[in-house]
This record gives sequence, C-alpha cells and structure tokens, in this order.
Amino acid sequence: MKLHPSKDMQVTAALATVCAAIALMPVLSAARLPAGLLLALCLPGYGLARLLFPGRSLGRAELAACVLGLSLGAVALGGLLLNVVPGHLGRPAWAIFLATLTVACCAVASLRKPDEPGPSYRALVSRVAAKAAAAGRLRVLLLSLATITLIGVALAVSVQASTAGRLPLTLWLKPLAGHHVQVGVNPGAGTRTDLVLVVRSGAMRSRLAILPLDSTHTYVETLTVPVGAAEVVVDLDQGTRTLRHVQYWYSPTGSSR
Amino acid sequence: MAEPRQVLGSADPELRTMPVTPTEWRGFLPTESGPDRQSQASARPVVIACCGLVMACGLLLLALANTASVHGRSGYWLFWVGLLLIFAPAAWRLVAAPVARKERLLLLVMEGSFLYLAKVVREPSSFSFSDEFAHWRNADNALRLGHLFGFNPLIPATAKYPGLTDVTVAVARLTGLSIFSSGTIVIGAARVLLCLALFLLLERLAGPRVAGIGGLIYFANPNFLYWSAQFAYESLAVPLVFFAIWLALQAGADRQRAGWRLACLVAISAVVVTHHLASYALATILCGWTLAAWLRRLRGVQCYVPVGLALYAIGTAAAWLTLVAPGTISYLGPVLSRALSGTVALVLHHETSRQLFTSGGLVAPAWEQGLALTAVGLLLVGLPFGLVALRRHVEKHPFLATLAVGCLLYVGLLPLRLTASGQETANRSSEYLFLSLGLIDAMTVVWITVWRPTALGQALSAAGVVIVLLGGAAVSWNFYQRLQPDFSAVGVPTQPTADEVALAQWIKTNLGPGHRVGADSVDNLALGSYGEQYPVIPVADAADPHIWQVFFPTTIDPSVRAQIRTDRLHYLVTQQRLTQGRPPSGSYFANSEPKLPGDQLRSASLDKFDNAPGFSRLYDAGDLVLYQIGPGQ
Repeated sequence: MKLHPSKDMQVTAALATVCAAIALMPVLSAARLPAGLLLALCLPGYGLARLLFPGRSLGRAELAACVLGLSLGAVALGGLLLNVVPGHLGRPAWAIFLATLTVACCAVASLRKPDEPGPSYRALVSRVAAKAAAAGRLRVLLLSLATITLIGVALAVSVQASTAGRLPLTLWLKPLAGHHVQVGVNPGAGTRTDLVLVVRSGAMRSRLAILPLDSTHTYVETLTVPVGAAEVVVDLDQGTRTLRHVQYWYSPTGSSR
Repeated sequence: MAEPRQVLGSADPELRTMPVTPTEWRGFLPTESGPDRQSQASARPVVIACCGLVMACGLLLLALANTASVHGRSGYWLFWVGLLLIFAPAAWRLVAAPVARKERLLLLVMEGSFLYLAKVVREPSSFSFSDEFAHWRNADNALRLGHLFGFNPLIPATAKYPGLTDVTVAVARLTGLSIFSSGTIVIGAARVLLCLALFLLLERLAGPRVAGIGGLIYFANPNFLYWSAQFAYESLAVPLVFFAIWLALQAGADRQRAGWRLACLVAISAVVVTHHLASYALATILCGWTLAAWLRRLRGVQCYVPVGLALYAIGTAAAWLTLVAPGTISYLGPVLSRALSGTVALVLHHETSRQLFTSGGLVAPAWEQGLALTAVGLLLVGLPFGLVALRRHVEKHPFLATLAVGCLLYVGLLPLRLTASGQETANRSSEYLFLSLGLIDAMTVVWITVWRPTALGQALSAAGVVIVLLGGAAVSWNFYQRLQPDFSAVGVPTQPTADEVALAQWIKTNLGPGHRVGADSVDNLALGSYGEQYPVIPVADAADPHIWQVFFPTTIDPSVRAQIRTDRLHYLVTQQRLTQGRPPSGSYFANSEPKLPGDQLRSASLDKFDNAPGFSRLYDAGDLVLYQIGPGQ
C-alpha cells in the first residue's frame, strides 16, 4: 500500500515527542504543566482513536470522548506494564512510554486507510478567522472571559479561606543520640512574643527566652541533658502561663532510646 | 434498532456523523423533537456563554458560603442559592426545544464541570474526605517506592486497584505537580468524560434531547455532588464504565465493529484495574444486555449480541479478583452480608434501624426533607409513563430491557435506605441505576413538553428537573458537613485539619515512617497518609485490634498495657476535642467499641498518659498530643 502520511498524524507524533522532551527536562518549568497534561490526558487517546477509527469518521463529541477515555485507559493500563520494567514509574519511563505509544499509533494509523481529503491548513485558518469575525463572537468572548474571571475569583476566595490562620502553637521534643534532645517551637498563625522555654532535667534548671516568632519562623534548640537524668521536661511559658508541655523519659540506665 | 444514517459528504462535520433518532422512535417522540428540527436549530453561543456566566455566579456564591462557614457564620442559604444558579440555566435550556445538539452537549458538560468545581471550592488546598487520604497514600507509595501495590494501612483493598494511582502518578511525574493537584485534575478529566459518555450513550438510544435531560437527571443521584467528585477510585471507574457501554453500543450500531470493540476492550480492562464494584456492575450490565439480545435472537430477530464483551468483562474481573486482589472478598463481603441481613430484617420483621435525614443525632431541616422526598416522588411518578412508552421499543433494542430492569431495581432498593446496614448498598448502587432513571424520566419530561408545548409547560418541566436536582443535593451529604466548619469552634473533629496533617508530617520527618500508632479514626487518616505511618485500625470489621481499650480507661491499668503490647504500638495520639461530644459516625476509634458511661469520652481517659513513666510526651499542639511509648510498656 502506498504511504499516505496524514498531516495531523505527523503533528501529533511530533507534539508527543516535544512534550516528552519537555517533561524530561531536569528543571521544573512552566512548560512542563501543559506538556505533561497533553502527554498524559490527550495525545495517547488521540493516537489510539485515529488508529482504531481510520479516516475522519468521528464527530467532534465522539472524538473528544475517545481521546479522553482512551488516554485515561491507556495510562491506567500502562502503569501495570511500567511496574514490571526497569525504571518502574519514574518520569523517564512515563514520558518514553506515552510518547512511544502515541508515535506508534500515529505511524500505524497513517499506514492504514487514507484520510478523506480535508481542507488545507490555510483554508482552516481562514474559516476560523471568518467565524471569529462573525457578529456576536465578541460578546461571546467577553462573556467567556467574565465566566473564567468569576471562576478564578471563586477559587481564590476558597483558597484564602482554607489556608487562613489554621495552625496552632506547637512545642515538640525529639530525642537525639547520646545525651541530647532537640526542642522546637512552631508559632502557628500570628506573631508570638514573650515566650520562654523552661527546661528541667535532674538538677538542671534553665530558662531560654525566645525572640518574637511569626508564622514564617520556627525556633529550634539542641539541649544537653545531664548524665543519669531520668527525664527531661520542657515547658513553653508566656508570662505566668504554661502554654505547652513536653517530657521525655529515659530508661533507668539514664541513656536515651 | 435501525442503524443510524450518516450524511456523508456534508460540509458540516456535525451533520456528517450525527446519529439520527431511529425511525421507530418517531411514533413516540413527535416530530417537534425529531432530528430534522434538531439539525435545523443551530447552537447559540451567546446563550451558552450566558448560562456559563450564571453558573459561575453560582460557583462564587458557593465559595462565599464556604468562606462564611469557615469564619463561624452561616453560609446555608448562600449554598442553596449558589446551587440553584448552577442548576437552573442548564435545566431551562435542556428542557426547551428546539436546541441544537451541540448546545445540549456543551451545557451538560458545563453543568457537570461546575458541579465538580463545587466540590473543589469546598476545600481547594488539600483533600478532606476520608477515602481521599487512602488514595493519597497509594499515590505517595507509588511516587516514593517507584512501584505499585504498596501497602496501604487505611484501606488495603484500594492498593490492589491501581488505575487511579497510575493516572495520578503519571500526571504528577510529567508535570511536577503535587499529588493533590494531580488528583484534582485527573478526577476533573474523569468528570468531563462522564458527561460526554453519558450524553453520547443516551443519545444513541433516544436522541439528543432525551440525552441532555437524562444526563441532567443523572446528576441528581445522591452521590454526584461530593462522593463521585472525590479523589477515589470509583470516581475514575464510573466514567470509564459509561464510556465502555457507549463503545459497546457503537459496536452494535456500526457495521465496521472492530475498532469499537477494541476500544471497548481497553475501557473494560481499565475499569477492572480501577475499581472492583464498577467492574462487576459493568459485567452485570453487559450480561443483562447479552441475555436480552440472546432471547430476542431465539425469536428469530437478528440483533447484536455483545457476548464477547460480556465474557471478557467477566473473565478479566474474575481473574483480577483471584490473582491480584483476593482480599476484595473479605473487604466487600461484610458490607454485602450486612445489607442482606438488613433486608431480611426489614422484609420479615419490618425492622428499620435507621432514621431518614438523621445523622449524629442531628436532623435535617424540614424543608430539605420535603425537597428530598418530593424529588424522589417526581422520579418515581415519571417512571411508569416512561416504562410504558419504552415497552414498545424494548423489542427493537435489547439494551433498553437492561435499563428497564435497572429502574425496577432502583425502586426495589429504596426501602434499604431505612436500614443502617443496607443504606450504603442502596446509595452506592444509585451511581449506576440513575442511568436508567435518567433515560426513562427524561422521556417522560419530553412527552410532557410535547403534550403541553406552551411556555408554562416547559417552565413547569424545567422546574421539576430543578427540584429533582436540588433534592439529590439535599441527600448527597449530611447537611452540617456540606460546608467546611469553623475549625476553631468545632467540637469533635470529623475530618483531618491542618493540625493533624502538621503532626503527621512532623512524625514522618523527625521519627521516620512505618511506626505503629494508636489514634482515633480521624487522626488515623492523616497519620496513614501524610505521615506514612501504620495506624492500627480495624479494616472492614476484620481483625478488630480493640484499640479503644487503650484509650477508654481513665487509668493506665494492666488492660491498657496488655492492649499496647498486643497491638505492638510505638506511639499514641490523643485529641482532646473528642471529649466535647460524640462523633457523627457514632464511634471514636472502631465500630466495635462499647458504649461509654455518659456516652462520651472523658478528659481523664486521655490525660492519663501525662507524667506517666514510660509515656514520653513529644509533641504538644494544644488539643493534639503525641506520646512515645517507652520500653517495658
């Protein structure tokens, strides 16, 4: 059979290759987001749809459903395959697999039944431009922009409400090797002042004043515990009030776990 | 069913492939809604854009309702007005005629997408539903370990169905996004697929007008608003099920079947590796269709019998269950057996163990109860008319017989909602059974609008659809949990908050992953996901570790120490807010825990670990405290 490479098969295969290359870039760039989404959720399904349904026999809605459904299906099943090969579910494995799948489908599809003669790219662009210039399109554009803006505002309002002032003041203690412990204070929301750490262990008593803390700073201190101490107790005080309390029990031999 | 005509050679690609309403339908669906009028109507972009704008306003109101609720004010009426603005435009346009096919499809996809965004604006920065934490753990395991089937202590069965994990990990790896962002995008894509597949599937059976209205009625199923929008494996599987059914219908209608069949096999395989119940439901639907078609063949009528697809669905589901996920039986078995025992008790002894519209001791507002009952009533009232009309066409397309059985099954399962044990089964089945209801009731709506083609008739029909949608939202989620609460004022926590997540992340960073931790059911979600710990929890009521025996006593007596040794606990987490009431779920730690004196956990039960030798208090966040259990305990 004489080869009749289809233009959109070529474009799809090239796009898959480019998206895989972008996804494999060592630096996280803004281009990785659209490239990754195209490669995972669109291109494999499009390649499979063109392979399974040669010629322009699908309507736009049918094609959209096949692109999305077959992409989701191919990725869901492809993960099982990648699970047993070297590289497993790493980024290179996914990029290479999805790009290869798309390119292979496009290659086989272009070897099958030739497409019906469609409009040239110039004719397509002219048609789109004519539609865009049609009366009423400006109104549609403005309404669509307003809709997208409202959606963005709704999401921003929700994000602001969900992340505002949620974390509490926290005191923690982490036993270290030897006779050391690490003590930390996370201030949570707002600014904290007049905080004092009161440390008691065996005969040791000490007070450590903490500089004012805000939500961007965490206070961490490493303390040395006297040998033979049965426990170490740390209180976080503000004035005469004890806000938080932590305590660590050593074994009877005096060594930490 | 007669094969659809394809108008080849037309310049309009929509006309070239538009599946026409079969001639047999014209006896039922009058010519006003026939294909000629549909094809003559052109999509009105300005109207679509206006509908989208109104829906966006509704979404903004939902976001404002959530914000008000988080700050301790009531967002109740904002929530309902927001939903009304999302439902009303689509209902008005989809019931109206004539409206172009393209417009109907776009409106349905927009409606489904905005309803998905309604869930996103409820909590846009992290997952909040309990199952989402289990699937977060699966994705985190895959990213961290580099392979599938990692251990999941929250819901072990989910790790054996890696479809959602695969897609989420692929998106996360390729884009660099977090698990939350990737998961949100994946479920959003699945939602769009659901809308497309639903429309195309119903259109194949009854034309675009019934498809639009039927899709809208499907959105009224109780699980649609939040449950099937969450980051969970069924949220991906159900759209794939409808996609597979549509592909099978296309295979039956198209002479060149190979492509559709192969695509259907891909979809069926994807469903099998994604969700257990969805694969069984798909196999059941295909088997029902095969049986109906085979019976028709026995009467000498030629028709498409999807026996190959049905056998493939059964074979792959059975193989996966046997070879990969045998634990599914112990996971689903107790749920189904409880539903069965509840049904028996209901039928034989008229025992109703559940009060409708009541949860955690709270009763839904009266108007919501009336709305929900009215919605169910409208759905049921519409069934006989649709089924009678359908009867004439069941002979012509066997798949319609399967859908008719689905309607009857929905009616038969309704009483299960009166039993605590059967309610979940009735609820979860509605995601599949509402496909039948959508078709049948949509046919009734179309009949009404043709019988009364006045503006009043159309308005009343649209209002009926809106009532059904709002009624579905009323039963979709406990009314006091539809919006995020003011976490600083809430008593017993019902979902992990930033506090629990911060503690979980601290444990992972400072103490390492994989420790056995004893905590309440809400804290376990954060510990088992973000914390990568091993929360000791009962799974599907099997091997109940009796963790409540560590927390309930008010002193550290020998029973507490014995339980700690039995459960091999390394750490304990106490949440003082548990002492402020009773959880809506009815239990603090496990379903098997006994009733407490006063029906409430006491502070002394949680304070007993303070200053107790061997119980080191490592983390204090006010209400939330972490204890390390020393040697010898």
